[in-house]
Order: sequence, then C-alpha cells, then structure tokens
Amino acid sequence: MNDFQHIKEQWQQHQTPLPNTNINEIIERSQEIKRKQQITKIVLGITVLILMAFFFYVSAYKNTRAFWGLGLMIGSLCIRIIMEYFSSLKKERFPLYQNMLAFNQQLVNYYKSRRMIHYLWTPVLFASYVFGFVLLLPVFKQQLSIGFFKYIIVSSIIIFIALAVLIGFQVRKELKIIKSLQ
Amino acid sequence: MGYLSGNEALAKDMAQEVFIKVWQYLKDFRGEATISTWIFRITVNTCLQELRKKKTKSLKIDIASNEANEDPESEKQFASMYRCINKLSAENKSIILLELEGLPQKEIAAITGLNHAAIRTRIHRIKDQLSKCVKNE
Repeated sequence: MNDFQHIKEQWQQHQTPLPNTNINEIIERSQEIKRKQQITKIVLGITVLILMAFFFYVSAYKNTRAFWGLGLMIGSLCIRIIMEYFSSLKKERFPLYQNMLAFNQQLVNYYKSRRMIHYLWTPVLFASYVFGFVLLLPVFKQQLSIGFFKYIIVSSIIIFIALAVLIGFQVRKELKIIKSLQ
Repeated sequence: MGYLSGNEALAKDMAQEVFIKVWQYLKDFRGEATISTWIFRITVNTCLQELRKKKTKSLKIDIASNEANEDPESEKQFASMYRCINKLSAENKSIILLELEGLPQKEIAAITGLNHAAIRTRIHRIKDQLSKCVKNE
C-alpha cells in the first residue's frame, strides 16, 4: 500500500464530530443575520441624518468658512461610509454555490476594485476631511477658550495619525488577501 | 477539520456557518448540479472565505477530542498530517481534502471548476507532495 493510500485510510477512519445544531437554530441564526443587516442600514441612515441635522443646527450654512469646513468633514465621512457599505453589500451578493475557481475570480476582482478605493478615494476623502478641519480652526479659535482650542488641536493630530495608521493596516491586510487568492 | 488543523471547536462553528449558508441559498438551487456538489461548493467557498478572514491568527494544531481514545502514535500522525495539509495552497488544500473524503474526481472537478484531466494531474502532484511531507515530519 502506498503512502497516500495509508493517509487516506487513516483520514476516513477518523470520525468527524457533528455540530450540535438543529434546524430551528439555523433558521433563527439566519433570521438574526438578516435583522442585523437591517439594523446596520438603519444606523447608517440615522448617522447621516444626525450629521446633516448637526450641520443645520450650528447654522454652518450662514458662515462661509464654517460651511465649507463642516461640509467637507461631514461630506467626506458620509461618502466613505456609504462607499464601504455598498462595497460590503456587493461582496455578500457573490453566490457561494458557484464553483471554487469562479468564486475565487470574483473575489480577486472585488479586492482589485477595492484598491481603487484604497489608493484613490480614501486618501482624497481623508485629505478633504483634514482640510475641512483646518478650515474650521479659526472658527474654533474665535469661539473657544485657548486651553480648549489647544486641546482640540493636539487631540485631533493624534486622532488623524491613528486613523492614517489604521487605514494603512487595513489596506495592507486586503493586499495580502489578494496575494493569497492568486 | 482539515481546513482548521483539527481544531474541533472551530470546525463545529464553521459547520454551523455552512448550514446557515445552505439554508439561505436553498431557494437558488436550480438543480444544475447534484445537491451534494452544490453543498460541497458552499462548504469549500465558506471555508476559504472564513480562513482568509482569520489568516493573521496562526492556526493551533489541536486534535479533536474523539481521538482521546487513540494511541499517541496515531495522534502524532494526525498532527503531522494537519501540518502538511496546512502547508498547501488554499486551492490545493480544498482539492486534497475532497480527495481524502473519498469523493469521485468527477465531482471534485464540478466543485472546483477545473476540468477532470486537470484535477487528475493536480491530485497526483498533491498526493506526492503530501506523502513526502508526512514521511519527513
């Protein structure tokens, strides 16, 4: 008997443990996933609405500088959130029942198309977000105490750096996935 | 189990995940392939997708509890088998695990999307690779 045949026999003698799941649990989990997707949509919608309401609440549209500053920050954030949402929705729609090669190809194309988001859209939107913040600085300086103004500058620099590092890690992770798929 | 280096808890989670996907996609089953091929496709794709998400975590070699009664020599052999399977590429891993499960090569071809002749050659190559690896472990 050759080596592989021996391995195969051993493999088949080995009992695979069955999950203790019944059909009701599966239906329940499946419905729970659908519910969660609905909740995500609602949360996203509410977030966009709150940001817009905040924009009007602070009457930013009356002051040109504040209008552009806040508008750029809220706009770029909303665009990026919506882009991410639709991108993940696209991936979820790939039929899992197609053959492995076709599914893999679809995933490769998906992650390649995401490079456009990572290399073009994310830096542009991130830059416009930071630019919007910079536009708001004179408004902050005018309306806030020196201490609080300094606090805002220091904390925002830390946040921007942390955000840039986080985005960098995410991009690297996705590039590794593309490599493993090919 | 082969995808997860014999980690029983993760394998059970993954099996549950596959059941959920099968349930969700059941309405899309058109009978173009046999139901077993269709379910195997979902299983293979789900495993590959989940493994990519967890790629950063190193997989612990951990033998399932039902092997508690087995002798240490057999445990050792299984551990080396899992290690060798883990060294294969994602595609080759799927192909050889289907072969180890005893599926006909025609069905493996239908699941993977490769043609029958290509599968035969590929399996032959992986078999050699795996046998050598297990022998050298």
